[in-house]
Amino acid sequence: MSEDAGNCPTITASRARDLVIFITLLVLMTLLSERLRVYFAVTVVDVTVTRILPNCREETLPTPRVFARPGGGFWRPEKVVDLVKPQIENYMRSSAWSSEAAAGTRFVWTIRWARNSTRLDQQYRYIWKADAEGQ
Amino acid sequence: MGTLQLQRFLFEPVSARSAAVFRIALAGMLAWAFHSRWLPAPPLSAVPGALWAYSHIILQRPYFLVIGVLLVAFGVGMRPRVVGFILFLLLLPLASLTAGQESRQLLLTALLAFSMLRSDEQWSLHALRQDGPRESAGPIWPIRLIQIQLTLVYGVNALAKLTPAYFSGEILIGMSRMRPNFRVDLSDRFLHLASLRLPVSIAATAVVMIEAFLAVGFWLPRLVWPTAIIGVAFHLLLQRIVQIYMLDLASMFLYLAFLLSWRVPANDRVQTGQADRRGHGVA
Repeated sequence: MSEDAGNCPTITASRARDLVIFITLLVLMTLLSERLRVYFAVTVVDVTVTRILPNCREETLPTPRVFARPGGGFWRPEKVVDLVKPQIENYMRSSAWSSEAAAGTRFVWTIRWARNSTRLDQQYRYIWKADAEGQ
Repeated sequence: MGTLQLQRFLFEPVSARSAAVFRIALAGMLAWAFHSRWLPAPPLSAVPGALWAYSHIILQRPYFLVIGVLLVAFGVGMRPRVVGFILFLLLLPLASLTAGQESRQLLLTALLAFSMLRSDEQWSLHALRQDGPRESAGPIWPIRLIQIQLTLVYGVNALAKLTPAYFSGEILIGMSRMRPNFRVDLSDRFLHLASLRLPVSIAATAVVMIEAFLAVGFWLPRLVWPTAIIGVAFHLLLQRIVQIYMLDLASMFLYLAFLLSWRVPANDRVQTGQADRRGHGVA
């Protein structure tokens, strides 16, 4: 150890070993730093629902609150459908919409979305029939 | 950076007093940041054995009690290196819960790095027992790691936002519609703060610029305090726009790594050299 080094403390009694630990932790921190990114991307999703009566009359229903803000993820297209579709099914099973609907009534759920944009250019339609378990 | 400068950057002795202050503050911060019991997040939650371990051991009261006792021991400087490493291992599973993953990762990195230091040379039970307080807690490189961690937080966030979609404000508008923790609705493309009506694209640009500044500013000695003030103001302002779980507070906590004076006074250096030849080793 040089004279200068004599006044400089170490953790492991060896600067080389200290440096190895330092660099290892630095590399680890850098690799994991990607996980620290927040609020930099989003998938914007919009859900609307229309009721089509057996006589083919259409009416737009207010979107239930639960679909107003589905979450803040950055999802792949298939993930959006996987996320929202079970919520629709749950909602329809538990709401009065389906239980009070006449046989033959259809509920057309439209899921529109886009990644990092408010111009929702992708779409999926899910039709729930009142007399069946939905389609 | 020359070799000598690099040596000073990494191996300069650390003030034992500042290390003690950071140790006590870190113990308090860890206690606050890790007290909530959330459920394990994916992909961990998909592992059956892991779920059992979480529900039967890790998220149980005795586990948290042990952590609490160890945090107190760490805070009072009772073998802080050994206790610090044990705490790191015990807290590690709690970094993968459904909330606060980023902030917990940040604090765990700080704990791991800081546990390298002999932070019990002052303001500790150990310091009370020995003949006189030591002035150095070891080399500064563990503190450098904590400082770099803070730079990485702001740096990666600024970099991730360097996209046309972010600068146009589209992402902020989308998040304000999608995320329940947003306190404002930016759908009209304006950020309304009190009487201020700021185009969302300008707000987005300002966010990126401030984060980039916070990543760099702390490294410029003259700008340390102004950077900290800007950082605190930035996070306070953000609180009015979005409710952040913990990352803002964890980041601001790490400002201490820049704000504390880590340099050992020159007339204490001789004692420092003696102190550091006494007992090396990680634990």
